[in-house]
Amino acid sequence: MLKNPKEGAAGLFFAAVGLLYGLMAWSSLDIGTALNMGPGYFPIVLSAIIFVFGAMMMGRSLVTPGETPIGKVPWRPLLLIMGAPVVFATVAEEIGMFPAVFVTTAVAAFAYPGATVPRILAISFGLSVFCTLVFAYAVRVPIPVIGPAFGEW
Amino acid sequence: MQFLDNLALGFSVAFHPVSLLYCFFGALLGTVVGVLPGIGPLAATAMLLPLTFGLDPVHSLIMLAGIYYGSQYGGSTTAILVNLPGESSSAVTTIDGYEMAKKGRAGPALAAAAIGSFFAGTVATVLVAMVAKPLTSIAMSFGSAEYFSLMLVGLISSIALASGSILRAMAMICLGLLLGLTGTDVYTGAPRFTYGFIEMYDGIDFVAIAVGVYGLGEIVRNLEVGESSRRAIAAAKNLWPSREDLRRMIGPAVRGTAIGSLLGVLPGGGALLSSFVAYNIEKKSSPNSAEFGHGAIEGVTAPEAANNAGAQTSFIPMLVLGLPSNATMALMIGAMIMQGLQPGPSVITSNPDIFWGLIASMWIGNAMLVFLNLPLIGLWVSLLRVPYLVLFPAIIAFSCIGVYSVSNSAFSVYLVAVAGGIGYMLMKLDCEPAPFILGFILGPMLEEHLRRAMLISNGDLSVFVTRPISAVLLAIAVVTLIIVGRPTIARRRKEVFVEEE
Repeated sequence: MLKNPKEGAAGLFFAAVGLLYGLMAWSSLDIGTALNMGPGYFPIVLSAIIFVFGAMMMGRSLVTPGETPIGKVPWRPLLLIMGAPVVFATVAEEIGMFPAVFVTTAVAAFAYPGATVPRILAISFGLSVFCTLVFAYAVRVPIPVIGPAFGEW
Repeated sequence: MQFLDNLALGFSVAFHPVSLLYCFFGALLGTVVGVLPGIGPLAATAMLLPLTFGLDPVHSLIMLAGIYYGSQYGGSTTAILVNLPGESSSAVTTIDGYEMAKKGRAGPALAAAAIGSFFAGTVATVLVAMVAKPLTSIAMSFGSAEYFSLMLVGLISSIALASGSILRAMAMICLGLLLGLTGTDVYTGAPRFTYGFIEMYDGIDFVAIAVGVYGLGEIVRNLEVGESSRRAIAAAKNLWPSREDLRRMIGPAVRGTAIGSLLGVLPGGGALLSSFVAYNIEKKSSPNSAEFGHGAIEGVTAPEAANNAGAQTSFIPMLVLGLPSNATMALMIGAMIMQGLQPGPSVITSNPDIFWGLIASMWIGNAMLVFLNLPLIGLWVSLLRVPYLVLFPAIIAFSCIGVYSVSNSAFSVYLVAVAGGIGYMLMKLDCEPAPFILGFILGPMLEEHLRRAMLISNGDLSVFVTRPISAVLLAIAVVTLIIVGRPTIARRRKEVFVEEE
């Protein structure tokens, strides 16, 4: 049975990545020879090594007991924190810097346990003002302050 | 004394009022961002990189160097005052620094860190100036085989810095190398592992990965452990160390500088390694060794000196060979390329003002930290009091805007989320990001030099051992691998890293 879940999970991950990249390289890239290596040569070697490392970890996880369990995944902060850049990337060019920062920081702030809506809105508003002043006016990052989604300004 | 002439040229560039101003802004902003918990020099430099785009090459590099030092110094400040290392290389500083702070000696601890760093910075600057020129002539004789072997040494020594199992560290290196190959193959133009995204034809944006893994991943971890783990902020009064403190700082500062200068040259994160080594040497050799762990000023001075000397000399491989010795240097190289400079042995002859100006501004950056930042301690402390609920959304907003403006595309911002998510999961499984990052940076260069070496040698693998420099480097790589793999060392490594927690 699985004695070290951390090692086992890591092994599974590496073996899968090795297999995936190995197959991609094998099917689409020219391998070449050791003298004249094609674009696929080095990737296939690396994928094979990663696969072997992953397999070794999986093997070891069955034999050697692990010290600690994986622990719970903090889904709420993980999804909200990683979701915030996705929100920004999706809307920034359309709605502009000020509203984009407002939405992005609001999404992120909900990751904080016990944060109340008025506080979150206040903080997001403050950060939008700050970022607009610094990045749109002072540094001149090429994102409009208010984007085309709100019509001509 | 030709290097004095060169230094003079450098100082004439760096002491120009405009340069001084940018250096100051860099150091100041770097410190501001570096003080924020969970943001090390890498994430700080990545976030502030866009600020330097509009400048000319000299000033943008000078400002970046200022940011780099500032953020490192900021990391030490949080290490001492709140027991939170801003980055791994100031992790050792927390051991004695925070103890000193708890005893009401935060001021002397901060001063010890700053003075130790300044001393180390001064010595290391002279050292860099002296060896840079001779080393570039050696570097000119480096062929592909030597580059390949040197990078191997760096990759393998990065294993020593990971606290988890060696197998996982090696897997992370290879994963980094593999993902680093993403993009158009230089020889054939074939797109590799791009999943059909045009945006990935130039490779995966490194800034996005750095920000995702180190910036956002850290936020999730902070939120996971909760507010309760945020520790009390020690008050910093009475900044200046006593005469007795100063006397006790001399030895550790000198030894730390020597260790840091040597290890910093090593590609693979020498600054981190050197602070651990310096701390352990002081702990073993000091007459006050009983005091270590309970607020010994030697335990703050030595690692900070080593760390700073290492940070300084880690510029050597970058300036001389164009090889980044750590992730922050990779960002600097990226910045140089964006400014139209190809890093490598030719910069010293083609752009002497930039080369020597950068070296001189390293020293000025250090001096600014002592004379300008130390008196501003009160400001940094108040930054630490900003509630986390304000702080982390701000970090996320800065990261998004920063990453967007580096590439001018939303695609990289999506990458931040992907890299952050995968990076967080891997850290949960005790797979540390440092070896991955180094592999990612070196991947394309490693492949290119391997292919070129094989072409030149007609496919004969023995080229790596018949060329003397390459053979020596490979021998070093093998010995390092054996050393880090020995069970006793593995156990020791664990102890060192457990101590930090």
